[in-house]
Amino acid sequence: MDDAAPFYQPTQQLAPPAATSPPVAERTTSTPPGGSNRRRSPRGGSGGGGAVSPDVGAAVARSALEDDDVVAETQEEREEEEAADDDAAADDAAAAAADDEMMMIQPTQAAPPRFSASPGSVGLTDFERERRRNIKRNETIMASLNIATATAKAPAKPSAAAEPAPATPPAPESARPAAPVVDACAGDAAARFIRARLLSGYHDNAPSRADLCFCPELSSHQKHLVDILTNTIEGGQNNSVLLMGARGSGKTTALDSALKELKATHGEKVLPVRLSGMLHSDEKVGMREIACQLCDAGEELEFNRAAGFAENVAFMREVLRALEGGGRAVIFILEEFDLFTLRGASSKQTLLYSIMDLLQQPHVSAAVVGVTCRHDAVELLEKRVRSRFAHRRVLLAPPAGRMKAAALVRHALRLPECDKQGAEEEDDEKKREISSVFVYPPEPGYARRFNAALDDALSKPAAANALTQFEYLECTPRAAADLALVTLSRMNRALGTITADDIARATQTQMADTYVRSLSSSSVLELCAVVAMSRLHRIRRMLSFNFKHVESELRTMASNDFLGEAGRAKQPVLVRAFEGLLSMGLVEAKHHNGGVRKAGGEPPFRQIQLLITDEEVETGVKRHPQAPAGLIDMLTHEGVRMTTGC
Amino acid sequence: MGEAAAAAAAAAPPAPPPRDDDDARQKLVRRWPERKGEIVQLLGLLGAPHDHAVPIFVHGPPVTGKSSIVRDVFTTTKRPFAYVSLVDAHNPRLLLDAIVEELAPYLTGLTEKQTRCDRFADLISVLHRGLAPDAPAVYLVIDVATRLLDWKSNDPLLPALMKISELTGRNVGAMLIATPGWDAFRSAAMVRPPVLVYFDAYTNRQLRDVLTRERPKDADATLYRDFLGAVLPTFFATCKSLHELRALLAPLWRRYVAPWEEARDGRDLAAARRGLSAAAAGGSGSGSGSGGGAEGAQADDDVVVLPEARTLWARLASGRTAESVAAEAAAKAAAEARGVPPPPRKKTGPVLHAGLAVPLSSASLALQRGEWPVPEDESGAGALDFDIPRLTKFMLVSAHLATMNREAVDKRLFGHMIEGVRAGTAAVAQRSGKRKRGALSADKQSEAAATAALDGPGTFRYPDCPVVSLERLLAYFRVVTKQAYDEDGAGDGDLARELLSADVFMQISSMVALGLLTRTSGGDALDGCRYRCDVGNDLARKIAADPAVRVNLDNYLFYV
Repeated sequence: MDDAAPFYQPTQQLAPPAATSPPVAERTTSTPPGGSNRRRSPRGGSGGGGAVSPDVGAAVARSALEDDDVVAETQEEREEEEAADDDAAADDAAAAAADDEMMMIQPTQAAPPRFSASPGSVGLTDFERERRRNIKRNETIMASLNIATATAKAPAKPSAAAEPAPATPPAPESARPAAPVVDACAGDAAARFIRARLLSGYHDNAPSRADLCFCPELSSHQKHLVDILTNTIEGGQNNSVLLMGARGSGKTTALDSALKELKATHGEKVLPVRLSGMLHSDEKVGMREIACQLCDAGEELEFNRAAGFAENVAFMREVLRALEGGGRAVIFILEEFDLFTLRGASSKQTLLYSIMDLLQQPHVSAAVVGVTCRHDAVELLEKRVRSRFAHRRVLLAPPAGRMKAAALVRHALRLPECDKQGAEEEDDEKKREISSVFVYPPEPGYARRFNAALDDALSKPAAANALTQFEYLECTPRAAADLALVTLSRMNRALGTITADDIARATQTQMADTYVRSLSSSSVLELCAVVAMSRLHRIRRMLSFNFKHVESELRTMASNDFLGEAGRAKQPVLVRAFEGLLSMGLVEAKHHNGGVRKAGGEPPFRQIQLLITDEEVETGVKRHPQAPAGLIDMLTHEGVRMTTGC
Repeated sequence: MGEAAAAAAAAAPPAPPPRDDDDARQKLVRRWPERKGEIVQLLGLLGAPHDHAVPIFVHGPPVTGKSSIVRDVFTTTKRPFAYVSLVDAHNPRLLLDAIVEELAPYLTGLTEKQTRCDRFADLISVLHRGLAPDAPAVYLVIDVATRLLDWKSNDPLLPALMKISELTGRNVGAMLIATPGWDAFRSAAMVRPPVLVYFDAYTNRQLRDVLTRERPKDADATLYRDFLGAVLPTFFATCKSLHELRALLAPLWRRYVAPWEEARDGRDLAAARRGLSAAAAGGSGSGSGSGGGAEGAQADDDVVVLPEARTLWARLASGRTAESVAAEAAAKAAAEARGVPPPPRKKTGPVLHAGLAVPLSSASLALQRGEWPVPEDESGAGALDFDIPRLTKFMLVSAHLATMNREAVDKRLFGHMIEGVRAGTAAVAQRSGKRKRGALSADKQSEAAATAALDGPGTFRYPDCPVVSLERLLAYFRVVTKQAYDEDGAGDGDLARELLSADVFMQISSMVALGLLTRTSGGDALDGCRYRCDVGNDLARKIAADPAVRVNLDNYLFYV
């Protein structure tokens, strides 16, 4: 057949379509868009892939399919295949044919026989074997990405026992209809809806640009991103952008929203690859993840877990080239961009380099979007990476200061109302969204009732006061979302509406100082030890001290026995109380002292520091139910003079 | 707006149907009556099964029911969760394996090979593939989460756990359980804080309720309540841990109730005997009827009165047992018989003291062994618990001295031993001997001694102190042994003989092996080894006071 034929020998018997790939690959250059789009179309309307390139005639697809089938079929199965082909031609969906073929083709996906045990490879050098293996692999990639083979449908039905692919992705989420969740009451449904909105505002659930209206900057950033990425998809410009901004300023929200919009307009032409610096900063892991996600894109590509870094890089290039042929653009999203530079420092940021280098390659259409909260992220880059990075930065300011907590909470908790008369067209979409949530009961005026109760609760003085206090501390959308979440968790679901009490209590728990709480619920001895430490710090002016100091200070305090049982505690009891403070994180002990290992490290002489402020100690003492009467005076200098008489 | 709300409220169904979670809540609250607030909070955060998972951080003082309640909440509401304690899963790999193993029933469509996790990224992909997008919320409960902070892993586990639902794109949430607050995790987490649930320590009243409910099966309810009411106030000031109180109360209760049970058994026995004798009387006929009646009357007279709570408490608090009472009485009688006034009772500390509640302290161990009354811990008192060769003791003492003294002090200490300097130093010593040490300098000395005792070895004041070179150690050893022998009246010959009998270097190395000394630098012995003395102040004083050693440490310690 061709020069690579001996290496296919075992596979050829098992899997005819694989052998057909070289000629088909040649042919694809002539009809690139048809290939990639055709592959998704059998999933029907759910994927939306078929609608993207309607200009590609059904005839092209069908002829490709028939070509494949003609080459593919084996002698035994000829009759069935022909019958299937007729069916496929008849109803244009080719479902039956695909199903039949799937069974036949599946052995192709068994990687080991294909790559390892080929008879011709016995006398070859390792290098040669490697090279041929790569050639083989790349051909499969080309074939699978650009040619309309019926194999596209193989992963859609992962039922057969012969299915070996370890990384076959589950069917795309959109394809699987969400099983209706039956809620017990309207309150449950509302809570579920709002929680999902608050917590999973990412990926496909990202807000649209219209929903970003609460912060005009965000929507303008989103528009900017859409413009940049549209250039990549339509114009073939390989771009790179860095989104910078403090945590909670909406970087990911803007990006996800932009991606959502792009997906809506360009459909399958956008292929996001998401990496997070937390997980994938190591280049091997990162590249493997890229390969894995690309495999998910080309559905019949098989992800080889054992592949090394270099193999995966080569694979990525091939895939990207092939995708470019199909008019598809890959968007690399690097969350926690700074971690890629920090972790990759030992390996000279190889992962970043290999991604950035792609952008300079011909026949590749890709964009890189970095997301970071470090403003010096660009300076962390290596020279070779930095020179390949377009220094385009989008700076997001945290949307704080001007906003009212009440308004944010209202925005976070509001249910969309769609049941009023004269609903607009845009409401239709929302209605669908809502109706998927409100399975039971279809209570007509519920959303309006919920919102009215929310407004009412927010206007009550208790809630309003609590929220004003909250505003002073932190007033970002994210903090408000957290507050809304806690409020929602306090809602009486049977009642189904939020009360002012819920809001006030949620605010309280969000603002509670746990140091003070744990101090005021500790034992009297622990409290006295903390007071002793605070005195060492405040009055004796010691920055750090050791257990012996605390003990002697406590003995001084207990000199006239007004600390009671706590003042009489012997050393082991005191050590025990001290251990409790250490475990609660009120006190910290240093493990090392100077350069000598464990020098002075015996527990009584270990240097310790009090981690809570004097105000917190004071509040804790005041709130403690069993605090000895004079303890609070011990904290002030005057009090010391009074009690110790000096 | 308000009207609309009112109208809507009026239109709302008046009585909602009973709900599953109400039922679960009631069950849980019945099981943990003291933790109602926390349970309600947890249930609210978990929400309905299909609600989106929230990252939750449960924290609070030890022994407040965090782990037990979290697990109970999940099992009672029948939610999928993976519980992993980092005590068991002590490295990242084990943690990942444990999570996958716990979640195995909920993960579908994965082969065994696919569920293997080497890195956190693998777990993410396992969850992504194994869980359906519309599956109910799955929680990863990670107990003793503080240990996450100690791991030096390449994967930033903590932030990844906090963002796990974003990373997997599935309905998965993490719940961490820890003792310190979120501030301990904040810098490591890098991400938005989870929703915090704080488990407050039990109040004294709640502790009493819990302990009353947990009383031993055969215990009398009112008696036990009295017992708790009398005993607990002693310990509440220093100990609020349920574990420790439980361990403490069990032996105390047995001791407290013993006299009462004795009396009760005696009464039962008497009653039984009476019943028997009555039956016998009934059987013997009417002839001896009058006699039987008399016996019954007599038994009624000495019916045993059960001791009251007050007397029981007094007996417990005075630490007197039946034997000790009997022995005292015997001694008293003997003394009276001999015509001598009875010896005054030995004055002891309180019998019930806070030291009993400290786990593994000598007092609590003695209590568990059944000793009574238990003396309070006196640190520094008593003899050595172990025996080591005499010269090793000297070596330890000299190592301690060399550690505590600055090198500048050495000259004062060794001056008279160097032949060439002897005359000069002797003159100085004579002159200074005449001049009495002023009160001021004595004050200074004692003050410095107190500060040094507080600061301990190896503080900033004497940075080179904790480490002693081998030469210095040997010099101290020589001075200390020689002077001790001189004071003992033994001649130089004895010392030389004894020193010959033992290899000093061998002793040093065996002390290093025992962990009493630590070698800190220098692989080469000729290069000058440096040692650190790991013997604390208390132990050093004990050794020095040992009859075989008898070194007065204060003669050698110079603080100024």
